[in-house]
This record gives sequence, C-alpha cells and structure tokens, in this order.
Amino acid sequence: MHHVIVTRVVWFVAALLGLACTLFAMGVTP
Amino acid sequence: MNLIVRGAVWFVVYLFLILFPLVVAAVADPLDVPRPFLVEVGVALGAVGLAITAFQFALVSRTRAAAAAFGEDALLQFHRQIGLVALACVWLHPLLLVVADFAPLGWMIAPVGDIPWAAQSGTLSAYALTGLIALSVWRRRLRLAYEWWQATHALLAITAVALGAIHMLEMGGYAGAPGVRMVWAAYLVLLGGLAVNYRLVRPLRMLRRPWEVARNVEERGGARTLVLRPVGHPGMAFQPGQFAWLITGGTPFALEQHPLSFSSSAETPPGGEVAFTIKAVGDWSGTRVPALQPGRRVWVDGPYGVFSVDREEGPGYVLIAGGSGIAPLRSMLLTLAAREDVRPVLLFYGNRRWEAMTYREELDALARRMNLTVVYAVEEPHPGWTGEVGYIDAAMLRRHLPKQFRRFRYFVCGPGAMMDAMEGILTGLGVPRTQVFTERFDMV
Repeated sequence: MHHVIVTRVVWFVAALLGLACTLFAMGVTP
Repeated sequence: MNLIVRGAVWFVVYLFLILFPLVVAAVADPLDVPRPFLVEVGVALGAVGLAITAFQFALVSRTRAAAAAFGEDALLQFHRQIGLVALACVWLHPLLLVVADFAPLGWMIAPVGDIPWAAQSGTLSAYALTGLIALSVWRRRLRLAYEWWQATHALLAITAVALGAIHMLEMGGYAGAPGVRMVWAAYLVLLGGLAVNYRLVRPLRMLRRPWEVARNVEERGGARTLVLRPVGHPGMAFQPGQFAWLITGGTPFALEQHPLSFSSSAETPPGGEVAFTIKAVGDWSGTRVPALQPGRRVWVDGPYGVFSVDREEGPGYVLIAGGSGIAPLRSMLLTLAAREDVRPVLLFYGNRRWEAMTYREELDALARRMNLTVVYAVEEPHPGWTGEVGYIDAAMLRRHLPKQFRRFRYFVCGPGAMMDAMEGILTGLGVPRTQVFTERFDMV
C-alpha cells in the first residue's frame, strides 16, 4: 500500500512548497 | 535507528535542501527595487523547480542509507511524481512573470531569436525537462526502447539542470547574492559527489564482485531463468522478493542496467547461485538475454526493495501474481519451502493462457512439498479447462481464501492496473491496507 502513501506525501510536499513560495513572496514584497 | 524515524529524518533533509536556497535568498534580499508579489512567487517557484530537478538524481542514485528507510521502489515513485511537481513549478515560474507583465510571452514560448541568453537558457531548460518527462510518461506509447530511454533521460536531465542553473546565475536577481551562490555551489559539490559515487565508486565495487552466467533456461510464457554464479566472492544475501540491477554490457560501468526481481530461493549458502526471471518484452530481454551464454561475465547491483515476506511476519501469506509478476513470488515460495515453513500460503496466478504459466510444473511440485495452494486463472481458457477464468477478482478470491484471511499478509506483483485493482478489491474484502504490499516495476 506504500504507493498510496507516497502519492499523499507528494501532494503534501507540493502544498508545502506552494506555501513556502507564497510566504517567501510575502516576506520580500514590501 | 527505527526505520520510521530514519525515514522522517531523510524527509526533513530533503525538504530542507529544496527550500534552503529560498530562505537564504529571503535573508540576503539583494534587490534594490521591490517587485510585485506575483513576480516574487514566480521567482520562488523557479528556484524550487530547479532545486527539485537537481535533487532528482539524489533520489535514484541508490544511496543505501536512504533506500533502506523507504525502499528503492518507493523512492522511484516519489522521484517520478515529484518530477511532475517540478514541471509545474518550472512552467508556473515564467507564466506568473508573463501574467505580472514582467516578461514577454514570446520568451516563454520560443527560446530563439532576439532574446537574452539568460532567458533563452531558462526556456530551453524548461523544454528539456518537459521532453524528459514526456518520454518517461509515454515511453511505451512512443515505442522508445528502455535502454534508449535511460540514455535520453540522463542526457536531458543534465541539460535541464545545467541550463536551469545558467539561467538562474545569468538572470542575477537573488542569485546575485553571495549566500545564494554559495548554497548552489555546495549543492553542486554534493550532487557531483553522488555522481562520482554512482558512476565510479559503485561500479568499482561491483568490479571486484563479478558474476557469471551458470545457466540460461527457456521457460514457459516467453520467459527465461538466468542463473548466475558468483566468481571469487561469497555472492549476495537477499530477502525473498527483493530486486537488483543487472548489468550485462561487459563492464559494470555500462550505462544500461535492468531492475529485476530475484526469483530464486534466498536460502542459499555463501557462494550460492541466484536467479532472475526475464520476460521477453524488448530488445534487451528479447534478443540479448537469450544470447547470454554460460560463462558470460555480468554484474549485479543489489539487493534493493522492501517487498519481502521477511519484513512482514504473519500467520499466513496470500501471493497474487499477474504474468511475469510471478518472479519475486517464486523466490518467496522457494525460500519458504527451503525453510520448511509450515504457515499456509495461497498463490493466485493469473495469465493469459495456461500454456504461458511460467513455472507451473514447479509450482505444482512445491504445493506437494509445503502448505501451498495454487489457484490458476486464465483469461483465454482452452477447451476442457475447469479452473478459474478471467481476471482475479473479489468473487474468485472469496472462493479460495480461508476463514482467517484478514489476518494474512498479501503480496501482489503484476501489471500496474492489476495491482491498483487488487488493492481496491482486497480492502473491499476487509483486508487492512497495512497488510497489502505491491511491487511496481513498470513505472516507465
């Protein structure tokens, strides 16, 4: 069943990276 | 260390490596003129996309410490899926800049003509990544041989990362900050080290442990059993169900290598033989493998994988094979038989035709030696066939599974579609998800 878990982890990472990019932009935009 | 803890540590390390350049860029913040929010999101996505692409190699460079925590096949799946995330980042990056009116659309579409090299390199990098992913996702539809895919994959990957890095450095911006440059320089050293290990150290280690073909036996269903004997070393200890990469190109430095499940018993003495089962599907398996004569030198990189009865103790096992998926399950059966294991084992074996059931005589013999029941299912039954017909489904499983089947461990190996279906069917029957294990090799 690990492939289902891997897919979930990938979605989680994708969401996390999206959030990180947004936070980065908020941080550097005055 | 506990495998879960080890997995978590590696996961955090991975996230850190992907996001660290962003953190350094945010802290350094070398830009004098502030830019719109959308542009900054786009720039960040570009950096993230490049970092994921660069570290894709690390995921598949067979670093044992990382592979042990997840299993090589889980890492391969992550590599494949996170690659799609990288592709999305890499294309969203120019798209957001275009939407924010920060870059002309033409730069993104055609990287030719009167366009600065800094932009050209970025677009070319994105196209290289797109091509690489398209070839991987549609390799079979495009009828691209596995060995050619391997070569183009490596070449396009290096091109995408190199052009991406050039694009970032040429564009300046955050990459103008010494801190950001230092991080990327460190990454280059790290990835270079992994590449040296993969292309030089690993093959050198293999060079000291050569194998030779002992027997090359034709089996039913267009398969061959390739039996290998270690030459001057004690061979390889593996768990039944694991796999290894086989190199038949005359030198362990050969680019071409094929992942194959061990199909022999894991209970062999030091210096013992190992076997792989190879079904003829392409140029290598169909033409070159049959031509491998006894005495021919080959190399084996392994063992890898976590698909093994040795890792999942249970009161009994249900093995479900589709076609050539029988290979790792044969290894499990031979191993359990060699150990005189008394636990009940049920093998469901689906194939198109009865005549194509690889190892069926051997499986019948095993069923007399151990607590094994074999259920054959054929899609195209011959006249007089009285066994199961069609794909293995819930009704068929129910007809043969013993009462306590929910406590058993399930190992499924076959075509991807079959494994997807089987996971749904088994959970539908009430088998806990944590007791179902699959091995996926047909990812490309």
